[in-house]
Amino acid sequence: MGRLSNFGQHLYEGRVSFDFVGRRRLWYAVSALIVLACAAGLLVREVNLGVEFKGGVEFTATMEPTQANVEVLRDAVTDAGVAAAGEPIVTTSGQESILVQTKPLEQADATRIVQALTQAGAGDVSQNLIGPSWGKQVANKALIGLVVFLVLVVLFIWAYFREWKMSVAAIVALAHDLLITIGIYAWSGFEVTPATVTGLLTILGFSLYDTVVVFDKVRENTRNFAANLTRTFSESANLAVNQTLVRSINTSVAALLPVAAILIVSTVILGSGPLKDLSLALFVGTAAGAYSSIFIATPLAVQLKEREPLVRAHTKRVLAKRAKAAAAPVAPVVDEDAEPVGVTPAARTSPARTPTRKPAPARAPARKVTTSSAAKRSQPQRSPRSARGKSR
Amino acid sequence: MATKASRPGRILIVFGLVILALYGGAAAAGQWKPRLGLDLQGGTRITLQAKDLEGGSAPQDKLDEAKDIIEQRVNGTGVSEAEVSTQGGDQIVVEIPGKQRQDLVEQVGRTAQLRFRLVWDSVQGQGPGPQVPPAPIITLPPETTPTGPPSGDATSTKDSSKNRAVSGWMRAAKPGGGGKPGDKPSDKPSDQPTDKPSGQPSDQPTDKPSGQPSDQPTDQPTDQPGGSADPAEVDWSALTLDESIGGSLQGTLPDPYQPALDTLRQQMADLQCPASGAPAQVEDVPGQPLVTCDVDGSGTKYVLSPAVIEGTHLDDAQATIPTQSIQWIVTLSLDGDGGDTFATVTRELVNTAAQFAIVLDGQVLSAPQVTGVITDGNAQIEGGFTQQSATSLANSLKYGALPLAFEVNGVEVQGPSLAGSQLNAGILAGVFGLALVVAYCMVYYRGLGLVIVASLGVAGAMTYALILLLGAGLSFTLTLPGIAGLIVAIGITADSFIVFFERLRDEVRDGKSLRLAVEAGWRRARLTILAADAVSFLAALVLYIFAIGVVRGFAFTLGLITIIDVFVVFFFTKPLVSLLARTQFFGRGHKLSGFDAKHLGISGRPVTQTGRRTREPSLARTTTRGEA
Repeated sequence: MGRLSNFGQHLYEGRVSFDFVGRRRLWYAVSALIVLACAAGLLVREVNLGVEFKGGVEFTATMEPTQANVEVLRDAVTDAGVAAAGEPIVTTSGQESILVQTKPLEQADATRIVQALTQAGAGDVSQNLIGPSWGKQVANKALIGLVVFLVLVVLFIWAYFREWKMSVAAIVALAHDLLITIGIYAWSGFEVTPATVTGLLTILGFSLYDTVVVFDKVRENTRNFAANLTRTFSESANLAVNQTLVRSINTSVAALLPVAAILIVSTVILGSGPLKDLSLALFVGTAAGAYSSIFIATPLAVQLKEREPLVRAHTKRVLAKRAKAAAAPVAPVVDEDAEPVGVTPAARTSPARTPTRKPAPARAPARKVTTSSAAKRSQPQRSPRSARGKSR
Repeated sequence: MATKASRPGRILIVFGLVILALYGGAAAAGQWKPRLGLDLQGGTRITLQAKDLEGGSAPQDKLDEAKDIIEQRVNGTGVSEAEVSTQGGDQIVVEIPGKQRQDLVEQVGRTAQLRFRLVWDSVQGQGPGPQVPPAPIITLPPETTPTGPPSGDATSTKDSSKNRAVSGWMRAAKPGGGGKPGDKPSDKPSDQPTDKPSGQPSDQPTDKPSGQPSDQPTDQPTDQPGGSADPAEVDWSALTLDESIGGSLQGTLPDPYQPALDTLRQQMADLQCPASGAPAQVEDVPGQPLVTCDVDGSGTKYVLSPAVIEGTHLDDAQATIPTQSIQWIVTLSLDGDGGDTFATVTRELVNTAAQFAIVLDGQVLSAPQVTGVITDGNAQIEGGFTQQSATSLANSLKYGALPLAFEVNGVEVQGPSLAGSQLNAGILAGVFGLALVVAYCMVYYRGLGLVIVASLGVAGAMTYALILLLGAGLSFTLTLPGIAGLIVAIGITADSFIVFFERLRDEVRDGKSLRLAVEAGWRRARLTILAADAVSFLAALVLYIFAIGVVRGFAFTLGLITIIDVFVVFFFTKPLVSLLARTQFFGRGHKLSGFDAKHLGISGRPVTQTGRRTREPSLARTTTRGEA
C-alpha cells in the first residue's frame, strides 16, 4: 500500500500522468464501441422482464434444487389442471429453492398450484402474484422516476458547477453508464425486475458522485488557468483527474466491495431475488460510473470548454511559450510541475528561469534526490541554502 | 466546523449524548428489535389498486375510507395483527405478518360496490338446483302481460306475507327468483311469494327465459317517440325516483326512456349468465341502468334501474336468527338519507310483486319483494338462508360498500423458511461487506482505518437506533431491500471518509503540517462530501417517491444513511481526527498510524513540520491550487 500511496503522490505531482484528456479520442472510441455493442444487444435481444413487469405468478418452493425435483414440480404444475397457467418455467434458485413461474392467475388458481406443489414434496411455498396491469404501471413509474431524476441531476449539476458544459458532460457520462448497464442486461439475459430498476436509478446517484468528486478537482485546478502559462487548460484538467485518481479508485472500491458482498452472498444462498437484481445492477453501474467519470466526463467537459475563445487563446499562448522553450537548448519540453506557485506571471516569463533549470538533470543524481526525495527533478537546488541538507 | 480551534472533544461528547438519547428514545418506546418486513419473517401481502379513477389518482379521503373498510374486513376474518395501509395515492396494501393466508385474498380483495336498484324486469334462469318439472306458469295471465301492473300478485303477496313476514320485513324473492311483476308472460308471480322461500328455487326455473322477453321489446319500442334507443345515450339522471318506481311496478317508463328500456330488455335476453357463479362481466355504473345476472348462478337475469341508494348509505348489516324463528335472516339498517329513499321505495312497492335488487359488484345479491313499508331504514331480508350464506351476505353488505373499485394487483406470500434464509443472507452479506470495507481501509489507511471503523460503528449505532425509533413511531419495517440499502450505504459512508483523508494527504503534500492539514483538508473536503451526499440523498428521495413496492425500503435506508453520514463525518470523524492529530501516535506520524510521512507520500520532513519549501517556487507541486 505504501507503494500505492507513492504512486498516488506521483500522480498528484504529475510525475506519473495518464493522459486521460489528451487521448480522449481513444476513450471515446472505446466507449462508443461498448455502447454500440450494448445498443445492438437491446435491438437483437429483448430485455428479459421479470414477473413484476409482465404480470404472472412466481412460486418459490423450498426443495432441494436438483434437476429431478425440477421435473417433479413441473409435472405437478401441469397436472394441477390450471389451464391459465400456461407452460410453467421451472428453475433452480440458490441452495435450497426451486422457482416456478406461470402466466397471470387468479388467486384461487394460484392456491391450487401451491397445493399441487406442496403435494409434490415442496416444503414451504412462497408466492408472488402480480396482476398484468400492475406491471405496466411499474414500468411507467420507473420511467417517470428516471426522467425526473435526470432533470433534477441536470439542475443540481448546473447549480453546483454553474456551468452547462460540465452538466452536459456529466449527463453524457450518466447516459453512458445507464446504456452500458442496460446493454449488459440485454446480452446476459439477466432478469429485469423493479429491484433492477431501483438499482439502475441508484447507479445514477453513484455515477454522479464520482463525477462530482472529479469535477470538483478539475474546477479547482482550472479556476485561474489564464494566469498559468505552463499548462493548457486541458493539461490542468488532466492533472486534476490524475490527482483524484487514487481517490476515485478508493471510493469506487469502497462502494463496490459491499455491493459485491451482497451480489455473491445473495446469488450463492438465495439465487434470484431482489437482492441479486439490485446488487447486480449496482455492481455493473458503479464500475461503469467509475470509468465514465474519468474517461468520458472530464475529457468531454474539457473538449466543450476548449471551444471558448478565452481557453483557446490561452492554449495558444502556452503552446507558443513551449515552442520557444523547445527552441532553446536542453530545456524540458513539458514540465508538469516546475511552475512556481507564488510567482507572478511577470516573473515567469523572465529569462532568468531557464538557466536555473538547465543544469538540473545533471545535478540530480549527485544529490541522490532520485531515491529519497519527493522531488526527483530539479527542485532541490532551488531550496534556500539554510534548508539544504537538513532534511535529508 | 469552520472554526479551526473548534473543540473536538466537546463535539464528540455532544454527539455521544445524542446517540444515547436516541437509544433512550428507543428504550422508552420499548422497541429493541427492528420490525422485520414480510420478506424477512414470512407473511402475506395483498396489494389492491383502485381502478377506473378519474384523473388517475384517488381522492385521499375515499382511499382512507376504503382502507378502513378493508381493515374491518380483515379483522372480521379473525386476523388481528394485520396492517392495512395506503400507498402511492391509489393503492391499499394489506400485510399479514407471519401467516400464509392467500385464502384471504377473496375476502379482502372483494372490492365490491354495493347499490340498491329497482328491478325493472327479470327473467328466470335455469337454476342450479334440482330441476322440478315446469310448474303451472300462467296462473294469472292478465296481470302478467308485459305492461300490466302487478296488482294481482300484490294482493296475494300481501296475504301470504302476513303469515310470516312482520311489518317492515322484506322477503328475499331471490331464491324464488322471478317473483317480479308481470312484464314477462311467463311469470307466475302470485304464487311465488307465498310459498316457503327456501323451497322455491327449484320450482321457479320453469320458463324458458331466453325466448320470451325478447319479443316484448321488439313490439313496442319502435313506435315510441322521442328518446334514444341506446341506453348509453339516454340521460338517466333526469329520471325521477317515482318514474323509476313506476318502471318497476308497471314495467314501462315515460316516453323518452321507453325505447331504451326495451333495448335493455333485449340486452337481457341476449345476456349469457356464467354457469358456475363466476362473476358476470358487466359494468356497474351507478347512474345507468344495469343488465345483469343473479350471483347464485341460477341464470336469473335482470334489468335494473339506475342506483336509487348507494351502498355507502348502509350503516350495518347482521346475520341473525329472530327469536321465534329457525330461519337465518339478514338485518340491515340504512342511514338518514338512505332510509328516506328506502321508505319511499317500500311505500310504493309494498305488497306488490315488484322487487328491488341489492347489487354487489354488478351482480344481484338478492332481489327481495317488499312486505311492509320501512320508514326507519331498518329492514331485513329473509328467505332460505343458511348460516353461512346469511353471514356472507351480511358481510358483503356491511363491508362491501367501498367508495372505490379495486382490483387485486399483487399477492405475495412468503413462507417462513424462505424468509428465514433471506434474513440470514441479508445479515451475512452485511457482515461480509462490512468486513471487506474495513479490511480495505485498514490496509490502506492503517491507523486511520481505525477511525473509519469507528465512524462506521457510530453510523451503524445511529442507524440502528433510528430504525428502532422509526419502527416504533412510524411502523417502519426493515425489509430485504432495506438491508441491501444499509449495506450499500456502508460504501457511501466509507467514501466520505476517503474523500476527507485523501484531501488531508493532498494538504500534507502541499506542505502543510499534519495538524494544519486536518483543518485545511477538511475545509476543502467538506463541500465535496456535502455535494456527494446531496446527490446520494437526491437519488434516494426520487427512488423513494417512484419506487415500487418493497424496493422503497432500499431507498429509505439509503437516504437515511446518507443523512446519518453527514452527521457522522461532521460531528464524529472530523473532531476525532482533529483530536488524534494532537496525539503522539497519530500526530507524530507513527508508522502504523497512517499519518507517517512515507504513507502520506511526503518525504524530507516529518509530518509535524510545515513544508517550508512550499512557498518556494520549485517545490510547489500543486501549482494551480496555490494560485487559486
